[in-house]
Amino acid sequence: MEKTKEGRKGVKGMNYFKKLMSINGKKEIPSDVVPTKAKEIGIDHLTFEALKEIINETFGNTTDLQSDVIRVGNSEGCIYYLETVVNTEMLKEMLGNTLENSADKDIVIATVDDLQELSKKSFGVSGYKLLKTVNHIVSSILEGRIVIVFRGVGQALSLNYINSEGRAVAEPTTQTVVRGPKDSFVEDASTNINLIRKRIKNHHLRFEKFMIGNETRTNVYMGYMYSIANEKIVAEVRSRLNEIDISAVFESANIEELITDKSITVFPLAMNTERPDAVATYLMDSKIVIIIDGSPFVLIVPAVLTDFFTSPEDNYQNYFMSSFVRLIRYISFMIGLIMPSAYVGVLTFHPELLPTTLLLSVIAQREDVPFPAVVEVFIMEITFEILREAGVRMPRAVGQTVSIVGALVIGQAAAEAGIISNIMVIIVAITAIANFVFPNYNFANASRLIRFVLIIVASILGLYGVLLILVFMVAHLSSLRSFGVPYLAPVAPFIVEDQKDVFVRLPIWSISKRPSYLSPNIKNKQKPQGSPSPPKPESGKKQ
Amino acid sequence: MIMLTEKLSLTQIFTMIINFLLGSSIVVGVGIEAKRDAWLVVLIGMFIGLIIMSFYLYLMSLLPGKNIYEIIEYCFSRKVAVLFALVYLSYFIYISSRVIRDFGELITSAILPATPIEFTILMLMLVIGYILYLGIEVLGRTAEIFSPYMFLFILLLFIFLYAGEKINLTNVQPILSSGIKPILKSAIPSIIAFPYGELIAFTVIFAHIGDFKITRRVCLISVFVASLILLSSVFLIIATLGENTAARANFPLLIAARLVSIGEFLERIDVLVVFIMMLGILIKSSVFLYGGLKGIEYIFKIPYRYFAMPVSCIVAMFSIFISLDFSDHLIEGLNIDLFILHVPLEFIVPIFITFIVLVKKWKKQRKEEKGLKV
Amino acid sequence: MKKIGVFLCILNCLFLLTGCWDRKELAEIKVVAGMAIDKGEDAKYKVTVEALNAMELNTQYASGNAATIVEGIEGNSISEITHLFNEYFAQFLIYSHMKLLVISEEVASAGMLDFIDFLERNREIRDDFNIIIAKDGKAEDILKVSAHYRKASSLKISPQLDHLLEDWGGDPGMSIINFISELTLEGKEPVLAAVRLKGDREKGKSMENIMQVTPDAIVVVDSLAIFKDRKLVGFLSMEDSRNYLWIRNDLKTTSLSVECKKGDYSSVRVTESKTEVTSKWKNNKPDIHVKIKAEGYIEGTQCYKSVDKLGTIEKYEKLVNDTFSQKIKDTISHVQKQYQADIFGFGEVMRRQDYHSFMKVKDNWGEEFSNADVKVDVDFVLRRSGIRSKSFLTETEK
Repeated sequence: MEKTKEGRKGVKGMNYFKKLMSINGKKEIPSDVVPTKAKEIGIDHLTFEALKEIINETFGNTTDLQSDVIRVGNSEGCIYYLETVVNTEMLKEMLGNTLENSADKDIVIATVDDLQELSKKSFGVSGYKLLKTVNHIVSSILEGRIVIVFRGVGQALSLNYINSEGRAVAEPTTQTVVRGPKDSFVEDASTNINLIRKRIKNHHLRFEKFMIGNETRTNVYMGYMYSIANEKIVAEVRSRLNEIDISAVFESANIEELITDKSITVFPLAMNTERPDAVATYLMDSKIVIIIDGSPFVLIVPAVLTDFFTSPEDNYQNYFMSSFVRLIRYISFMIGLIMPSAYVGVLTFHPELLPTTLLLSVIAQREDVPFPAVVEVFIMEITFEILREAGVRMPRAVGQTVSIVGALVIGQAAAEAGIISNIMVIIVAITAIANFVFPNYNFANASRLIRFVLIIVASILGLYGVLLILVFMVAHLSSLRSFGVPYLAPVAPFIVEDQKDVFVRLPIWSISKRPSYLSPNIKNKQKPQGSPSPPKPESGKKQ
Repeated sequence: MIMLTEKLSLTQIFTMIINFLLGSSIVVGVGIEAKRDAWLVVLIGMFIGLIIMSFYLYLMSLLPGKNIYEIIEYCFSRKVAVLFALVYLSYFIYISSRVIRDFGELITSAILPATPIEFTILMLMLVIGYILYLGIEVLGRTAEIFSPYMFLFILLLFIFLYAGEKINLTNVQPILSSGIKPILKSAIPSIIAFPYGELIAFTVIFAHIGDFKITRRVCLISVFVASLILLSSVFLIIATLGENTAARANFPLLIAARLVSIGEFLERIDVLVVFIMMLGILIKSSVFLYGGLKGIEYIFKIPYRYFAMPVSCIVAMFSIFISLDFSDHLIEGLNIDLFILHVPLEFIVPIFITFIVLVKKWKKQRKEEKGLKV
Repeated sequence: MKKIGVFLCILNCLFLLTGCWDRKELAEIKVVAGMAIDKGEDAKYKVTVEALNAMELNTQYASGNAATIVEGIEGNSISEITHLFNEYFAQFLIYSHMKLLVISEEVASAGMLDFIDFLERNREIRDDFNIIIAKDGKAEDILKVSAHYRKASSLKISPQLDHLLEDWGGDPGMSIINFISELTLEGKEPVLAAVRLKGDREKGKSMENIMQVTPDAIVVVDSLAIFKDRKLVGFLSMEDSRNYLWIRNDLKTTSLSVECKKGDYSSVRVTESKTEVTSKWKNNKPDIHVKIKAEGYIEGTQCYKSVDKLGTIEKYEKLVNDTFSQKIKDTISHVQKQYQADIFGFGEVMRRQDYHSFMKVKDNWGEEFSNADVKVDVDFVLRRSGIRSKSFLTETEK
């Protein structure tokens, strides 16, 4: 800030203002929160027993750490592994066959070269690593590998016998489709990557591994199509992932909060999905995928508003049907947002906007209701939210029936008891159902929250207040950016060529370009073409 | 967070200019003093408006990338420019609060009579303050998003009135019955000051545009489109209400919208008109406020986002103070302001400045030529 | 950041604690369906409103009570009276759904139409209600009758007028904006439909009125009220009312009877009609020419002439043309001579077609109108004859 003559007097005030506005607010993190990293100790300086002691000490007295002595030829070695994480069957087989039996009885492993020879001979096919520091040994053991240390050798051998027990690939629980692939991601990252690679058999599909979470050391993979994705965005994602400084990461949501642009908003700035075909579509559209070990939900960045209105199923149905469904989604978003507040606003502030017969009917129904319209709406909405949450937590068998049906029944009973009016039940039911139309749960949540704000404002200023808050919401949405991409692209700024997949879905053969707001490297998906048409009759011949 | 240099895309400029010109004029009606020939007044105004727009564009093209304050600085020294900037920035803020007062009057007279006008205005200003705090780009995008709906509502209004057989073309005839004099009297100078002269506010925004040549075309087209819409609106008002009621109605389009009645179901749609007006006024007031904020930024050299909120609250307060009642507001706007404020600041000063800029540039060119020769 | 939080808290308190000024809960409002203006005895006006009892109008909750409440208050300004009604009623009255305005003959004849300014200025009162004159009696009696349709008098009369306009052409379809603009125009005088209460006034007040097959009291659309210089000057018959609409090109459909043979009538239904009026200044007086083009079909005939012959059709067309050209001309002459009020809007037509001449005489147009030369031409075309061709009378006659 320049200290010009005119500005000097206002400097202090401006500083105060700056603090008030906190545009560049970044706080210092106290240093004791940052975990100190373990020292790097090279094992070639340690004796065999000292190493064993260090490893035992690091792991404490945990019962699943096994340190067995083995003999390979004439050399003595110690094998360390966590028996809960390792596939003990295969391990025993390996120990039995490979090391103790098939190796030469006279083999001596005294140097690193010997170790390398042995490894190449026995484990060249299955993959091995040679480790140099205690840190690496510890992290390998934690990952589920076995580490073999030979007396006198300066490096340790690490082999992969990870037990990947987990859920089998099954149907997705959240984003179901009528027609389309029915496999979903699981908790194991490698299986997930497997599912993606099966769909995109392209050498440009790259995955980069990050270890995020100082204490949990979770594996996080970033995937992208090298030829298509914009390098700047990839670099941005990479740098943000590297900057994450947090102690624990369990779900993609934790990472989502850490890497998306810092803004105070209810709207999600990254998408998440459980479906590999959706992920594959997004990768081909030059988006970037973030897979976390331990969660079946993968993150997709950058995300714009229109992405939340699409479901992978859109591409698997007839384009007229998809367009229709998309329009329904937009309309139901508006309905879910505005209907209760419009009810409150019109009935309490603007009864002149209703046709006379409707108004008389509503008055007759509301004659005995003790509460004002606002309170009624709040009671019903909150009751419904409670029912909804309860429906999610209840065991599967019961949960499904409770949600909507329960709400309607309770609503009906309340109406008959005279607490709320019949119209209220209908309105709440329509709103709730409109909310369920969303393919993406995060976004529906945003809508739920804003609905309450709208109801409050509608009770103060009527429909004028509703309009104001809508403008506010649109302005807020316009200011959001997801990794530099405006949140409302391609609606505002209006990009004509991207309109083919926003409000309606034009046939696939007509969408020949990738979304331009993502600035992909290769713009064209396919040649611009029309749909196939029947062969033309040759000239001169009769039809 | 890097503060990106704000750029407005062409569609955003297009929609902003249209919304700006329609602003309050679409609901309040322009040129209704000319009675049945009011739409002809708008037609004449359209041509004048195109000329005015080209003039402002020309002024901006002489010194690309500079907003009006910087242009004045180029002509004179910084001290004089600060003085001019003070005048202009208070002018912009004054008009912004007048426009808001218009809207507040509409809401209080027609929609929410018991709510104090201060409250409705304050609510609107908070939203405007928030939008400007986020930047002019956000304003552009908001304009871009809402414009299709605004056009749709205007179109729907026309269709409904036509379908309901409320349009009575006999109300518009005979054309030019009293001759062209009343039309000209109404057009000059009132219609050139309102709404076309107010385009001067855009001289602050044009500094953000990229390619000037295409922008020029887009701007002229948008003035044309806005005038067409305004023309049809005025035509519709006279055709449905008749010259008598239209002249006496405070918000003619709202009264016309109340006539819509189709099949007993599609009735009572004044909300559409309120939405149209709200959007137009939001953008008009925001643009003026932005002009004022840029003036403050120019004087104090502090990014304007810091005082978007406070100044918009000041505008809210100011809009209550400027007039005691509605007729005071109208008289001030139509009679007093016209000759004291609008004509000098919107036309005389810019023409003067253009002249000086041209002279300076010519002098510079001559100097360079002399320098080259030597 | 803290300070922003405080700011937001204060803002929240501002919103939530200050209260909502315009809120009117539905339980607190009562819808007014009709308003009647009479001349007051102790004050200038007496305003009677008919407020609807929403529970009664809903079949689920109805319990046989009266569907409306009608009360009146006297006062000097209508606007004051409308807010005074809580002297009688428990709830707020809202006027935005008003369907009917009844003005008594007395008020209209005395020219006390200035109260209309309130109706125009008020933001609640809209433009979509019917205005009528109550003939031979008080305006409040029109509201104090129970009706078969929707139990409330206004709710019955309002669609009644619309349907009469559509089916036969008996109501001029006036709304406030039209009425006011015609009051101020020099070239047209306004008209309003006039109704009359037929039957026993006292018996009509109770719900028993509608329990009978032929109600004791019923509101009947009776005539057309004419205004001149803002005063009610006379009434025209229903036939003249239809002719008025026809001249104004507002006729939708109507039925005409023509005498095809002495004592026998044929009736014809007009389905489409277009009227063109030319009005010019000629020979020192207005020269008005009304051209009507209409289409229709035969609805019923009492004559035996075979309808499926071209000759007969031409004959009927000519009959219609002649009869109704004369009848319409008679209507105009009647108004010219008796009232000298241009209710047909010929002055406005002249303003459009012969502007300068009109401007010269507009201030005493009523007089000029009464001297005008009027020519009426009806050109009627018969297209169809219902779903029978020859009448059975043709057969029997043979």
